[in-house]
Order: sequence, then structure tokens, then C-alpha cells
Amino acid sequence: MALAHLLQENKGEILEKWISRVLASYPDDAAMIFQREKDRFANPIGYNTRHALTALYDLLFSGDQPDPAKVAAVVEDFVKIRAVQTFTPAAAVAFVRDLKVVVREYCRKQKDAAPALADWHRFEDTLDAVSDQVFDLYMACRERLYKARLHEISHMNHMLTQHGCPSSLLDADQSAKTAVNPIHIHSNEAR
Amino acid sequence: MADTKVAEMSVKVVKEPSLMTGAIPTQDWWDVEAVFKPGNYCYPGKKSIVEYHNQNLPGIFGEAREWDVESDDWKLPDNWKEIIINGIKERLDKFRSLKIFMDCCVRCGACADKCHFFLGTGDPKNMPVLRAELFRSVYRNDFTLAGKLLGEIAGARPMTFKVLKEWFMYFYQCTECRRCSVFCPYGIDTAEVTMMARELLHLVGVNTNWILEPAANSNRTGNHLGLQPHTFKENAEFLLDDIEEATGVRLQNLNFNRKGAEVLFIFPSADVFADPGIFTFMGYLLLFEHIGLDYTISTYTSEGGNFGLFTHNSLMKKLNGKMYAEAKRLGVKWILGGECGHMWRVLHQYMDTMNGPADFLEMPKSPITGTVFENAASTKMVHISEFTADLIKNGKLKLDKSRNDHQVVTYHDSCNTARGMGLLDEPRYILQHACNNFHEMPENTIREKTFCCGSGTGLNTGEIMDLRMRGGLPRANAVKYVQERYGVNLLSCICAIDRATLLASMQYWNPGVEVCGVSELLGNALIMDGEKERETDLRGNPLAGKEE
Repeated sequence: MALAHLLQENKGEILEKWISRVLASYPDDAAMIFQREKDRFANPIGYNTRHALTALYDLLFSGDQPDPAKVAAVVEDFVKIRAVQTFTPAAAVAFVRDLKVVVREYCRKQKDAAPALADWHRFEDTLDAVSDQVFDLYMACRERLYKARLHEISHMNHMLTQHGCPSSLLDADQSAKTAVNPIHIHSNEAR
Repeated sequence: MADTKVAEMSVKVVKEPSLMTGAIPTQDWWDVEAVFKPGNYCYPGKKSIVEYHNQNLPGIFGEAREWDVESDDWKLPDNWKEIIINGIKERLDKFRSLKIFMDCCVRCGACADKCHFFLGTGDPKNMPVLRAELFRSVYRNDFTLAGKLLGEIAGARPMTFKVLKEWFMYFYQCTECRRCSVFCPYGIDTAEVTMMARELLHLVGVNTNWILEPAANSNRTGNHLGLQPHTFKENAEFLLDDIEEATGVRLQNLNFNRKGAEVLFIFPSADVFADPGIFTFMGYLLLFEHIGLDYTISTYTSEGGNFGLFTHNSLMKKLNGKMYAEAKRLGVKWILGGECGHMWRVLHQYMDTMNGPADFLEMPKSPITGTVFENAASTKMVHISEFTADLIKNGKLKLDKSRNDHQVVTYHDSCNTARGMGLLDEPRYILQHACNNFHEMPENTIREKTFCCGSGTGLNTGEIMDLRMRGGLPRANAVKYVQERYGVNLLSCICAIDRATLLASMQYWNPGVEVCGVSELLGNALIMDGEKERETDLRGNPLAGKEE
């Protein structure tokens, strides 16, 4: 059976295995809850994982080579979540490679499934391209995170860590009083 | 066919604890150690700040010292375990609620998946039940017969450095938002467990600077940034120019430390210096001018936010007491409070037993509508949303809600005002009268089930930005829904920490959504005497139909 056909025919089973495998990157207790709870607001990680992987699967195996813009649209929110969790960069984007493992295991168990080598190459090339793209998305998320932090710093919240507390005036050496400049900010700078 | 070696390696990469993946727990929860790495902990309190607190409240904040969170030597006092155990004993005797919360949990799991930190991290120790278990296990070991006799079998374990590290990690991944309590059949208030654990950590000098320094500043100069009176006043006055630019009206009513005013107005200090709080402040001033309120602002108590709440009840009491001392000194009749979060938690839940009743003040009565706020009979302090909603209900405000037509608004219930004091409908009532485009987020993410911004209780510091984003995921996920469905571009709220931290959260999760206070939208809608034709909102953005 051609690999593309096999992937389409057995979408339900392969997809479930893939989702389970990706959710298993969380501790067992959490993975169980993320797998079980269907409400998208009560379970943002579980919902986004399922939603993104399902949409990506459809894109990958619907016939043509996947359009990178469409791939980005379906996985971006999911990558955004992985990018701020405690995963290393490699583990955060490993979900694409997970699909390779799932499909290989699936084919191994199917006696009549022996896709041609060319099919495997095409499959692997497709996933490798997506994997590279997902890493770019991951980096874009990290950059966005740092920009948010920079914005926060430039909007005065850094005042707390950058300026001495007036309580420093009460140091044992009272002569230090004259050396401490009063905090002076103007709302002009606050914007 | 498949390359089994690659397949096996892939399994290992994702499944097994390794440097590649970060450890995936394969042991019992209490065998998993807390590992501090840059980005997952707040910087510890500066020595000078702890010294300052120790001068004012001796014996509460431990020994002032420089220490490194990532090191295994936290320079703790030799008898630190004894200090903690004695501290637990003292609190069990003093706070009956703690004793009940320690004993009555049946581990039903109702709270397990309700915490925004659990939902954003997947870390089981962020399940409220397990977070409390970090404390309960020590309680059982030293204070229950079963624990003393059976040890681990009864879920007991002694206090060790490993446990202390867990406490510091996970009681600073709780924002005391109390969402879990809503779902607990026994009403266990995990926030109070966190408060007690943080007090105990403070006793041995384990603390964070982002909380202690604002608390020191609030104590010393009146506000968390340590702005001195002249700076605070100048900042506020500068905003009058912006109000004039947007409305054509030069307000004359801004005043400070005026004795004999009817009302003392206390609000979060961020509203006079930080974007977007400054626009909320403009809304306050426009409202007061509109109704001719006889009010004053104090530079002595120029901070609503009570950072003491995140440290120790004595400091919380002291900072709250400043508000009342100033109300007494100025001779006002009652206090009006701005859009603040933890100021209201402290006020509503703790003020009365700490510093109340405030009998020297009068029962708050709106000078415009005559409404008596009997709900504030003891604290004598009224929330600006209650006050404003009453004005609207009595037809005292002239509003043009079309001035907010360029915005599509949703409302985030701030934890402290929603769950902490039940203020659910008043802000919505104001929004319904101040703007035409308002859409609620899904039912299980608002009102008493609201999700925290993810950065409350002193966690809104830059060094843990990743962690804040994880904690903010459930809230942002709900905002995303209304952004996609209704085109929401403005997230309103009534808390200064929300205004500061949801900004970063939206920039990461939902670009295109701005954050504002409810009073800002009211300020846009208020029709002022002598105003010019309004072209822009208070931010200088063109109104609908006024775009160039």
C-alpha cells in the first residue's frame, strides 16, 4: 500500500497515537488530564495540542506538498505554548519527529504495509521541512518573548530593580544620605 | 524499514529524563527535586532591603544576607528547621483556618486542574492539592499522631533543605488567586496555605526582592516605586496636559494632602506613572471633575497595592494602617478606592480584624446620589466601580458611548476583586454604559471562575517572564477566543497588576489586544462641560469616523 494512502486511510489511529505521544512529554498526571479534558478553556494545552496536530496532519497528507504559510497558521499557537515551557529547544519542536516514529511503528505492525523507499523519502523530506519551519517559529516566539520583556523594562517596571530604595538612607552610615540621589522620573519618560 | 536505533533515540529524547528534554518525573512526587535555573525563580531580597524591614518589624524577615538561589548553600541560620517548625506551631495556634485546611482535605482532586499554573506548566506540583501537600506533609510529620508513628506511609516527611527548596519554588508559583477554592467542596483556601508558607520562608530569610523592595518603598515613601511626594505630584499633574489635549478641558480639581476634603482617594501608584495605568488615572480625574467630587489624594499613602500581603500579616497590617492613619489626619469622611487588586483583598478580607472598625470615619454616602454604602459600614472604603455604577444608575453621568466605538472590548475579572470581594456586576454595568462593543469571554473563564493574569502576588517581575507566560496561558487562551470570534482588541480590567502584566501577556499570546482600566473607557465616554469636539480618545487614538 502506498504510504500516502495508508496515512489517509488510518488517520484516526495514527493521529491519536501521535497526540498521545506528544502529550506524554508532560508528566504522567498532567498528560492524563490534558488527554481527557475536552473543554478548550479548561485545558488549553490539551486542546491546542490536539487541534494543531490534527490540522497539521490534514495539511501534510492531503495530497500536495504543504504550503508553509498554512503550516505556520495551524501550528503557531501550539509552538507558542511549547516555546515558554520548560522544554529544551530540541524537545519543544520534537513533536514533528514524533510523527515519524509513530508512523514507522504503525507500519511495522501492519503486515501488508510495505511502502516503497521513495514513499519513505518523500515522507521524511516533508517532515524534515516542517521540522525546520517549526524551529523558525520557535525562535520567533522566543524573540517575541524577549521583546515583551524589553517593552516592560522600557515602560518603567525596571525602576524597581534599577533604583535603590529610599530605605537605603537608613544604612548604618547616616552620612550616606547626601550621596543618594532622589528618584526623579517624569511621566514624559513613562511613555 | 524503520531505523530502530533512531526510533529508540527519539523515544529517549522525549520520554526519558535527560539534559535534552529536562527531566520528566519517573519517581514519586516527593522524590523529584526542585532545580533552580535562571528564569524559574525570582531574585532574592537585597540585603539592604531586608535590613530595612528588620529595623521596622524585627524577627519576621530572617537574617539579612546575600545569597544565591541556585546554590546549595542558602546561608540559612543553623536552627532554620526549628524556626520553621515553631513557626508552623505558632500559626496553627493562631489561625484556626490553617489547622482546618491542613486536616480536612480528602484529596478528591476537584482542584487539580483548576490552577492556571498547572494548566500552563503541566507540573503536578502546581496542582493546588499537591502544592498544599508540600506543606501538609511536614505538618503531618510533626503535628499528627499518624505522621509521627507511620511517617511516609501516612504521607509525612520531615522538613529538609529539599523540602525548603520545593516550598520556595512552588509557593512562588501560586498567585493566591483562589480559583481552586471555588471548586473545593470544603472551601479550602489554598491562597492562605501559600500565605502561611511564604511567612515561614520569610522567617528564615528566604524571600524575593520584587516583593520586599516595593513593600519597603510603600512603607517609607508611600508607594511601591519609592516616588517621593514632589515626583508623585508632578507626574500626576503632567497628565492634566494630556487630558486637556484630548478633551479641551483643563481640569482644576487635582489636589494633594488637603485637609478637610470629604473623600480620600487611594489608588495604585502605577496609575500615575505607567502605561496604560495613566489613562485610567485620567478617567478618575475626569469623573471627579464631572460630578464635582470634593476629594484629595495623599502622597503619604500614595499606593493602594499592599505588598505586605505577600510577605507577613504584620507588614500587611502596617501598610493597610497607613491608609487609615492618613484618613484620620486629613479628617476626611470616608475613603474611595481606585482600580487596584490586592488593596481590595486586604481591605475586604483582613482590614476589619487587623485595623478595623474605622469608627472615626463616617458611613460612606455618595454626595451626588445620596446612596449609602452599607456594605462598607466597617471599613468605610468604597470601590470606584461601585461608586461609578451608582452614579450611572441614578442618571448622574452624561455619557457618549460611541466614543469607544473604535474599540471592541472584553472584561477580565481581576481575582482579588472578583473572588476576593464579589465585585462582578458593577464593572460590567459601567462597560455597558460606556461602550457599544462589549463581548464576554467564555463562562468558565470569567466572574468567580476567572483565570488569573498569571503574575499576581509579586510575580510580575521580568526575570521570570517565561514562567509568567505559562501562568498566563489560560487567560490568554480565552482572550484569543473572543479576539478571533468578535474582533476584540481591548482587554479591560480593574487591577493595576493586571494592567501591567496582561500587557506583556497579550504582546506574546495575542498581539493586537491592548489593555485598559474600566475608568479609562468611562473617561472617553464622559461628556465634559466646555469640552471641544472629541477627535481622539485619552490615548490619542482617533475615534471611529475621525480617522484621517
